[in-house]
Parts: sequence; structure tokens; C-alpha cells
Amino acid sequence: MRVSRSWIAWMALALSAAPLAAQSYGGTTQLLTIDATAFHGESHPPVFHSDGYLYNADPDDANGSTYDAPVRLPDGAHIEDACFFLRNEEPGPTGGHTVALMVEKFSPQGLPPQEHVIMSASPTTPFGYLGICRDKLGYPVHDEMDVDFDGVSDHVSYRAIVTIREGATLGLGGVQIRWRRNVSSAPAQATFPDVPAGSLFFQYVEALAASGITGGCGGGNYCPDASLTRGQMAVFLAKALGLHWVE
Amino acid sequence: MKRLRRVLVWASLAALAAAGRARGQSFGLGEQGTVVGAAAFVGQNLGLQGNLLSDGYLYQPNFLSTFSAPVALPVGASITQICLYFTNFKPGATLQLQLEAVKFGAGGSGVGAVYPVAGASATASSANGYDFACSGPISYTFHDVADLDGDQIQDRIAHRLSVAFTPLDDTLGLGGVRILWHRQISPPPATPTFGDVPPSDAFFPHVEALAASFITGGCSGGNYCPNAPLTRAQMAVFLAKALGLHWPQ
Repeated sequence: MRVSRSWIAWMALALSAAPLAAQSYGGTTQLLTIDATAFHGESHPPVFHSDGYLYNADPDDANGSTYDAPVRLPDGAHIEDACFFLRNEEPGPTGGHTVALMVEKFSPQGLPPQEHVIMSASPTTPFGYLGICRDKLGYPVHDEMDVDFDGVSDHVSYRAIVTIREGATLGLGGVQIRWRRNVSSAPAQATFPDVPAGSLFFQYVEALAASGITGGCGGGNYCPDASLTRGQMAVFLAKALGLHWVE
Repeated sequence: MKRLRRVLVWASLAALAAAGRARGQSFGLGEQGTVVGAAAFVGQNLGLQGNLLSDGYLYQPNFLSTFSAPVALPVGASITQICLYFTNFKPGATLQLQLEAVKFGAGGSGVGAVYPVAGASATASSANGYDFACSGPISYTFHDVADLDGDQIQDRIAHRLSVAFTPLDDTLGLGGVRILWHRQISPPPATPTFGDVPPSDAFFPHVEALAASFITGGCSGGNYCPNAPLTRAQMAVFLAKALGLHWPQ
């Protein structure tokens, strides 16, 4: 199993290099690719071979070797499945390895961080390349959530983890996570009286209001049935996209 | 150089904090630059750590080495150029930069093979201190899947930047890499989604891009009604679906 780590090690991890989520839009599924070079070792530095895969730096460590990478997705993203791509360089004993997606609670009171598993698998690896996938995860990503069910919303982050068993030479190519965006859930109280909770457009108009894209049409209303001019359309789009800072 | 190394530890921490995050958060079709800082690069050799010095640059340890960093851009991003920032205090030493794609898979031939992206390379070879070198113009569309090996099967892939230091020399430093790119409207399908927006329509690629992203399902009856006026409420649906807005804290 994984060894415990110090707060300092966690902070170094949180600051470490990793790509942001890909920035495609709309509600279709998309892939977040986390290359092996984004992973950092908890106890041993990674070793990269010419296939670009990350290998266990110290097969003799009885605790095994654990490598982590941050997973960055937008608030509200829905994780559908996750694949870990691995390679076993030597035939021999199989099993004992762990791959996992974790959510981790930041603890502001000097307590060690708490982890919870989103998905995990213990791959058995014959000689060669292997893809370990888990589908139908249905996991909603949030920057704040009540991880430990104590009624308090926690600040959290997400990580991908690979633990390589003692004595094994296992390689990690990377992780791909399939996810999609959602329209945010509407509040209990309507922002605009002319778009009440029963309106077909309620959730969508509230999403724009919560993001500062619209303040309504005046008088506290949104005027949902008014037609839109090209000029107003330009304001909506420019505000939505934060366009376009010239270099 | 020796003086620089005394502050190695603090430089490493500062550089990790400053350079760790990939960028690319502007919108629209304008050109933008994603900077991959030196601290994002890791060595390919056994246990290799580069030396991050107080100038924020990564210097070669005491053996020949290649350093790599992951690259994540939006699917469909068109990369137009990559630039390498470096220091070089000695003639003859070079840094070679290459953008690469790596094939993932569950087995079979060619998994783990590294494919250089044609033209996405630059060589730093001048000997006059801090400088940069850029590739020529590139036209490479970024994807998370591609048929790298030409077997008609779409492979899951990753991208990375690799920088090779030659020869063994501690006077070469890697400052980072800047990728110039811009977004594109996705290519439309051969068969139109809506009967009233055929391929001959000037708006065909834009409407198809919205349909492919589930931002619109049309107005009804298999049509999009491209010339119908839009209400403010309908506008809200388009924008909210497009952006996946805004999860309350």
C-alpha cells in the first residue's frame, strides 16, 4: 500500500508541472491526456525510457514506488471513464500494482490531507503493453465538495496515481480521462422574476447570471422573449469568452 | 556558474511555482502562445534531475541527457511555430528541441513509439548568452487521438516536447519553450446535419461545429432555421451549453 507523505511533499506535488485540461467546449465528451512526463515520484524520481514510458526507479524498495500527477478539470466536469496505459518490461509475477484516480481534501488545520478513491484497479501485467480502463464512472468534479461527509464543504484537488510493486519493472505511458461539461445546476431562488424556476430556460439563464455574462435587460428582469440584436449578441459573446487580450 | 548553484534549492521551488502551469486560456481564433517553463521538463535518464538555477533556467547534469515536458492544447488547435529559449556560453554546444507524439495502446506493435512532428523542431547553437531559436512555419493540428502508424486505426496519443543537450556541457541552459497556436472551426461532416443548412451554405461549418458539440439540436423537423430571429432566452441556452457554466462554490 501507499506510504504516508509529509505536508511538504504534498505541497511540492500541488505546485508541480502538469497540463491543464484541454479546452474544447460544448457538451460532447473529450479526452484529458496526462502524459507520463507529468508524473512525479513520491519516494523515487521517475525514469523515462526511449518509448517515452515512465519506469520504476527503485525495484528493490519494499514499499514499491508511487508516482502522482495532478488532474485538472473545470468545475462541474463529469468524468465518464479513465484509462491508464502501462507496460511490463519483464515477464514474471503479475499483480500487486495499483492505479487510481483520487480526490484529496486540503486540510487547513495542520492535519494531513485526506484521500478518497474515485476509481482504482490492480492490473496484472503480462509481458507487453496494457490499457487499464474503467468506464461509467459518472463522477462530478468540483473544486469544493464535502469529501468526508461532515457537513462542511472542503477544498479539494484531484490526482492520478500509479504504485509499482516491489521487484517489478512496470512502465506508465500516461492517463487519458474521458469527460464532458455540464450546464450548472440552477439555484433555488430565481434571479429574474420573468424567468422563474418553472421556465424551460431557467437553468440556462441562471448559468449566465452566475457567470456575470448577463445582468438582465433592466428592472430586475431578463426579457427572455425579446429578440436579440447583433450588437447585444456581441456583448454576450465577448463577455462569455473574455475576448481578446492583444499581446 | 558556481555562484548561481548556491541558490539552487530556492530557485527550484520558485521555478516550480511559477512555471508549472501550462497556459492557453485565451479564446477566439486569434494567435496565442502557450509557455512550457523549464521546471516542467524531466530527464529521461536514470534518476536524472536537471539543475534549476537562480535564473530559472534548467542546466544539464553531468551526463548526456534529454529532457521532456508534456504538452496539452485544445483538440483542433493549429500549431504554427515553436520557439526554444536558452543560454549558451560556449561555442559548439547545442540544444535540440522536438515536438513529439507518443502512441498509447493495450498491446500490439508500435505502442510506446515516439513520432517526431514534422518541422516542429529548433536548434539552439549560438554562443552569446541568452537567446532563442524558432522552428520554421508549421501547420500541425493537435489531437488526443490520431493514426500515427498508418494502420487505419485511430491510436490514443500524447504529446511532449523533448530537448536534447549535446555535448556534455554545463554551460547550456533551457529557459523554456513557447508554442504559437490558434483555434480552428472544426471540419464539417460530408453529410449535413440540418436540411436547411446544406454544405453550400456560407454558415455550414459553423452550424455543424455547434451541432457536433451538442450546443444545438436545431429548431425542429431536422432543421436549424438559420434565418429565424433569436430570443434572449434562446441565446442563454446556446451560451450556457457552449461553456458549461458556472458551478457555484
